[in-house]
Amino acid sequence: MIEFKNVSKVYPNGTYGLKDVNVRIDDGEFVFVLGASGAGKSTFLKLIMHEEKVTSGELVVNGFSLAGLKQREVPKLRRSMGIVFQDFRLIPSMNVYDNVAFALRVTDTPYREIRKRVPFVLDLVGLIHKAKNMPNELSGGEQQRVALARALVNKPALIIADEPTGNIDPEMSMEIVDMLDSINKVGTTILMVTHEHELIRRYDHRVITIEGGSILSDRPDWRDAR
Amino acid sequence: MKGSGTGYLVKTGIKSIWHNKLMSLASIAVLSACLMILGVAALFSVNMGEALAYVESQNEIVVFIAEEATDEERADLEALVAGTGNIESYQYISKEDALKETKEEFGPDSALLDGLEEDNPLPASYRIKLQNLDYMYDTVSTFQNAPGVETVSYPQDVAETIVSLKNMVSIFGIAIIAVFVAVSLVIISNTIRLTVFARRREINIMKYVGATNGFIRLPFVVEGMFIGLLAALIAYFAVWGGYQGIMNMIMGTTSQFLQSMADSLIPFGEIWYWVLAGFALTGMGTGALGSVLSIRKHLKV
Repeated sequence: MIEFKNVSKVYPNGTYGLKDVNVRIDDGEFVFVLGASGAGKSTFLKLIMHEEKVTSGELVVNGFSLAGLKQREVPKLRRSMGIVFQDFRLIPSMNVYDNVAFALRVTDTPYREIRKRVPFVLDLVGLIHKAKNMPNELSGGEQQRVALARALVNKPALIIADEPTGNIDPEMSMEIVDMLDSINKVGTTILMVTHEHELIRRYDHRVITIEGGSILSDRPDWRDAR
Repeated sequence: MKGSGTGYLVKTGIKSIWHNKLMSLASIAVLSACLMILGVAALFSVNMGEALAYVESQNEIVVFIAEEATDEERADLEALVAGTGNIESYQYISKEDALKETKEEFGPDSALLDGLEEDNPLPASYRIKLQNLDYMYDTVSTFQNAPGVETVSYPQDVAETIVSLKNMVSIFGIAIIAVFVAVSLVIISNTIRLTVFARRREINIMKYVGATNGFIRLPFVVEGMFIGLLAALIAYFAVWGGYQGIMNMIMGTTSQFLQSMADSLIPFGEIWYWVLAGFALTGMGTGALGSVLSIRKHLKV
């Protein structure tokens, strides 16, 4: 669950990232976050990932209260979420399997777990046959699926996808969002930031629109979202 | 830790040294040079300290007992000498002993002193060797103020020279160590910074998947410590060789003076473990610290 209560974020140079935002996203929801660049979407995500700290207000993510979160709690928070970036952020010197296993290795997961879970998630994103390939041998869509597998391998309660389709062509985009949709069906909360209205119209999900650092609209589906 | 991570990250760190061969080699070379200079300075200080300690131990203060001192005062003085700190050893010289010694010094002319046994003008005394010349004045004044003491003689100039030499040697040693530890830190952290830069993507991902800072640092710290250890071994063998070489050279000369100097040098066999441990600790310590410093800003995500 994510809950913003009167959250404001002011950057050191005085500009507002977010202004008095109140929003609640329950477990198991699929939410699109819509907004132009510079509207405050990034700040919204960065606060949830605890990359930035709230200036005022209360923010609770997966049971962690982020205002005044202790440094040693941050890894625990991050392990409760999986993050997918626009630019994939795969490690070019590692093959597909190792890229996914990396997330488990650096969180000190036992070998047996790694050998079990990596093939499982690679199968889930349909790339088990490319486990030995290097990232540069894959298409953009495939790379993003590897990134998705890496986000999933920790069994997070929440997936944050920051414009996951921004760098891949439209058919592939659909595939990615379909995949997120089916992950959502088994109970994982999905928070997907995008500015592609086309994409949003294909699904029946809640849409939150951010503009000028505030929530412009928050609708149960795209129909009257702005 | 029972998981897969530690082993994996240690391996990653060691691989990384090989991956950045040239830069690793350069920092091992510079670091071992620093350690060598450090070692030479430390060995010089230690030997110098040893030599000074010897000179120090040869200096004594002499407490002359007043002719008119009562038996009670003499007993008190004996107790005072025995009970005062900073005394390495002491020796009581009676009036008779003093005369006998003086006669020996006169040698063939000792006949001049004949007959003095009846009315011996030489005072009885305590000859006291001190542990530490730094506190000589305190000890001296203790005896000067004691009843039954005629005078106290002490080697003022020698003591002052030795004390200031000792201070110089230790200041010099500390300064050299500080400078070269700082230089080593800069060198190591620069090498690690390159690795960190090359792997900033991985670090970034590690942060996002919830790796702890300790875990993220691990491969870099391993890399730094390994570089430090290699440099320490090189420096150790170089210093060992150099020390033995100088010893052999001095022994080989015909100069009596140089040979007696070599006698007072500490044999390497007696201190090798200190040198090795010192190098290994300094090398690995600066390696680890350099890594921690160079990765710090990448952990703030």
